[in-house]
Amino acid sequence: MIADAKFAKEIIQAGGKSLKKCYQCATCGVVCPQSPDENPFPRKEMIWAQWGAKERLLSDADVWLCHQCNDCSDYCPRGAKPGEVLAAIRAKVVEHYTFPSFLSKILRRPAGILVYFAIPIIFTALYLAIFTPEIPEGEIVLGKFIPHVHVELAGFAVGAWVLLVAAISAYRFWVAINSQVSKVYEYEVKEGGEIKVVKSSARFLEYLFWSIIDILKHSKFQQCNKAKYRFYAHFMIFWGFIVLGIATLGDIVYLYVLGYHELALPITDPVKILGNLGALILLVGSAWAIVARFSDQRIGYGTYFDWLFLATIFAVGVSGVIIEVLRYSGSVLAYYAYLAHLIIVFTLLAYAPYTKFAHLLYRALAYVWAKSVGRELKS
Amino acid sequence: MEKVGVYICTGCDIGKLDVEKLKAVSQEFGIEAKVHPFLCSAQGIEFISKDLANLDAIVIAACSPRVKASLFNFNGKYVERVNLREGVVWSHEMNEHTQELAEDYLRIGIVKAQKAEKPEPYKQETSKDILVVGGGVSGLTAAIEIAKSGYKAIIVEKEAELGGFARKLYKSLPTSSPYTRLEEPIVAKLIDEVKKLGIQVFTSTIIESIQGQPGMLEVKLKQNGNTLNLKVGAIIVATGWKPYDATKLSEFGYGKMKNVVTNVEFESIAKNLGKKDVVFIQCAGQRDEKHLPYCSSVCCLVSLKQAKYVTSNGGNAFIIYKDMRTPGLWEDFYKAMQDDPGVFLTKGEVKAVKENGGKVVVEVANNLLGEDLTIEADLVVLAIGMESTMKGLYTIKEEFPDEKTVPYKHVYEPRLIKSAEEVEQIKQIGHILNLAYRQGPELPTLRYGFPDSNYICFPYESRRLGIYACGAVRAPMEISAAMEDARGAALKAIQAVELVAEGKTTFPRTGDVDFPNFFLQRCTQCKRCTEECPFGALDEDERGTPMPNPLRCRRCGICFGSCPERIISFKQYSIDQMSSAIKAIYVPDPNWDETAAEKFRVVAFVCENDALPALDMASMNGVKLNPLVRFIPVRCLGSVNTVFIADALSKGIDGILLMGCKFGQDYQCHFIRGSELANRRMENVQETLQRLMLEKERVRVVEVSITDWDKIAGIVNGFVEEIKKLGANPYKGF
Repeated sequence: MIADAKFAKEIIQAGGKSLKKCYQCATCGVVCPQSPDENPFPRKEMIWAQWGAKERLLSDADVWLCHQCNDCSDYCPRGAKPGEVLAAIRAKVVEHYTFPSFLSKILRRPAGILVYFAIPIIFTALYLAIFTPEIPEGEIVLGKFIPHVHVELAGFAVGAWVLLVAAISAYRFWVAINSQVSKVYEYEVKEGGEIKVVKSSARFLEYLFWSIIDILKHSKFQQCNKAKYRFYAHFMIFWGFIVLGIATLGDIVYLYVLGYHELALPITDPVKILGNLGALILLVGSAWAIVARFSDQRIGYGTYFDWLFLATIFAVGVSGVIIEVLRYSGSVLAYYAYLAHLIIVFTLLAYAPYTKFAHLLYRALAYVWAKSVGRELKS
Repeated sequence: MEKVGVYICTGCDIGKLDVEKLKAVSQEFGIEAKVHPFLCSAQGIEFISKDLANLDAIVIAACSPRVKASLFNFNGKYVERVNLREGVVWSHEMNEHTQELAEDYLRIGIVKAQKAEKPEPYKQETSKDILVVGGGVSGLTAAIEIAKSGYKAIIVEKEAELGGFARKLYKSLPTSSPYTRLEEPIVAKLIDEVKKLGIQVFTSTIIESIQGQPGMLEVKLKQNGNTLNLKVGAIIVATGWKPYDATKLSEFGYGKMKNVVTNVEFESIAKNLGKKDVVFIQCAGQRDEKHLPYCSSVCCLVSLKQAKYVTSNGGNAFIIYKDMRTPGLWEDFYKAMQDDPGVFLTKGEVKAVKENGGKVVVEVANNLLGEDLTIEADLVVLAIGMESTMKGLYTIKEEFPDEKTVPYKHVYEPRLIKSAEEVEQIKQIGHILNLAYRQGPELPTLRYGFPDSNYICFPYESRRLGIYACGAVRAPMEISAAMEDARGAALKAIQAVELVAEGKTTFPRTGDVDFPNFFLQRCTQCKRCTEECPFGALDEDERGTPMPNPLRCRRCGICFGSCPERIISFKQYSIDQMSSAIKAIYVPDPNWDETAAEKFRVVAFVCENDALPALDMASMNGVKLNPLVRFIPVRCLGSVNTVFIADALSKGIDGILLMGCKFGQDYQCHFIRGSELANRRMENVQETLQRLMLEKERVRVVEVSITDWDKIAGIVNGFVEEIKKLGANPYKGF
């Protein structure tokens, strides 16, 4: 292991301000509801971070098993806030594995907010310059301003980009976390004493399936003590997205199966009701997460990396609702709100591999890894 | 003393004894004992005081001499306390034997009072000036404190300038809240103050010799080839420390790589350091049997301080420690440094230090990170330890025994020497004090070359009275601790010069005026007293006759115990007095007394510092002892002369127990080796016993520490049972 003072300082800059306070008492590892008994975290991550053990931290899947319950920070006798430090390490991991990583490096800093908005604004400006859409008269119908097919095509382009980047990141990360641990082998004893060895990681798809179930149920998150609210808030944001996704599928069905030309659905439409329900859950969940983050100075207020993501989700929800309100009230401002909403949605989705959104990918892989190496905490 | 008064108290259960019989015992000596129910009350004291005009000595048969000593003090008249409370009624079942025990104690008390004599103060022309050896922080502080208290201090410094080691420091540790800011070294201020106070300073000066005794120490200084003579009352030794020889630390690359330096060297680099990454290796050659076995207690703090030099230049400091030791409020400094983003801390063992280009690479095993760690840096600093400046010097003879002498067990590191030439070679290394004392030219050391006497009981005291060691010469310590230490030593020195000016003794029994007397006409020049005195109080003339230096004496009585001619005595603690006390014990004669066969008699000599308090504590805790044992307190087990044993056995005493302190390397003896010497002498006594056809089991030495009260009953009663098995002393009734 190599001591890297520069990397340690980078973690401090990335939000692990209290890192140096740790004096290795290991209270954190003991109280952590997510940590296995063998080789527990976050004590070891704390000293690795103090010493800038870069190669260790970047290939340590344990930091992704942390859900920042903050039980550790609550019990820490020295105020070292392991919860915050691990969040900062995760930000560094995302930065390291995404392609191209400079983009992540830019977006992680507060100054990166300019780039964050500049790219979608430039795209929008180009679009407006090329297609010169005009604000239509009469009833507010967004599809008349910007055709849905344009939005869909842009969505596909962004989606393809995100998937490509995510695949590269996921591959790099998976290789790294598996390079460090010895594999766990499962074996079954057959008749006659013959032992059949099954390489545990060969059962990737099975573990992936159960990991997805864990994610849908938030079964790990549920074990948090100090930040129990986070389980509920996260659950709402997560399911808010899913409900919104289902509503979007409904829209697709309307457009391409049932042959609707427009989506200015009345408020009583089942798809609209579903969409509004999703938006409501998302808004309440993200608002709750924002308010609760200010609640305890002892466990910390989170890093810029966290806030950017949280604020973007909240802004997506708020801008969506504003469009709807303006549309029903017949204000042409709805079109401008729509532009803003598209820009915000772009930041949320297109930057997903570079922002905290990427945790969906990394944590899911860490779940699979934990199951495959026998590191999953049995509850 | 001729006119002895006997006062018996009947309070605190003492009245359970047959007081009339006790009065009858007093009558044996022609003294009418007076009885009072409450002697320590105002009326009780008045009861005694009104007789004082007609008395030389007062025998108080009441409680232990360890209590109410200031109450039973009658203008310095001799007071003998007979311990009837703790020693008899509280610690024994009431019966005929216990009554006889009380009667024997009263006899012993009266005899001791009768045999005591009046001592006179040892008044001489003395000096109250105090010599401070060493002009570092400790010495300067001591001198300043002495001068401020109105005494004359004289500083002797070997170097051309004052300031010592502290002058070489770039910055010093924080000494005030919030304990996070480094400070400018205080030494410059101290030097200014010494100048302002007009303290006499001799720089580039060494001590050629010191002789005499406290109050009258004649010091010869040598400055640029000139000899100067001084007379001083006391001396403070503040010669400080020297760094451990780092050339022995080649395992860390010292001497092989130019980028490996010591923490001492780093102080001079620090000013022009620039941006550098630095690895600090703690305990380099410390807490290590191959090098210094002890912790120097300051290196952790020094490295934290030096880490601050590094990080304030933008570099990184990596500290590899065994344990971080930052005592007291320095925990705050440690915490502040932990928070410094440029400071990296881990426990660990340095496996290797290598060179790689212009860089050094340090490999650390067994650290907190779970696997071996590699650190690349520009510089490695070894946190080497502190040695006393006394270390390596020829101190005293007993620490350098030749092949013929029996080494003392209390000497921690005896350095066996074979020939006189070898002694001369060691002496060539140099000297600090150059004492012209018989036992050797320097202060005896306690451990690892640090001079000290019993550290727990007597801080500052060396084993040479009137000479006080302070600062890093005495134990590793940092600047503020050394300054505090210097103040303590200054106080001790002032106390010494004042006491000796009045002809009183300094320590222990401070203020006492009873010095040992030598009846030299009968001296056979056997040199036992001069050899065995733990405090080097005795010099010798060319014939080997002891030349006492009363003010160098601690009055333990080891000389008095050693003398085969029994010519050394105190006025109030003499051979005659002790022998008479033993003879005063009534031993039933089997020729006349039918009960004599049952009435065994055991005498226990008990050290008054540890064993006697343990006995008192046992008594207060309700421990019951066998009433056949007579406890006789002695100043030190080393003061038990073999003649006492012979006297006791010839009188028909059946067994003799000597209860003294633990001896050896972790000795608890106030007088270093009193119990060790007693043990050695008893080996000789046992040969004598065998010649007399007496069982050697009749005399036993046991080690008792002050906390051993719960073991007392087992030791004492067990010994009596063994003696009973041996049967009565056949010399009874001769």
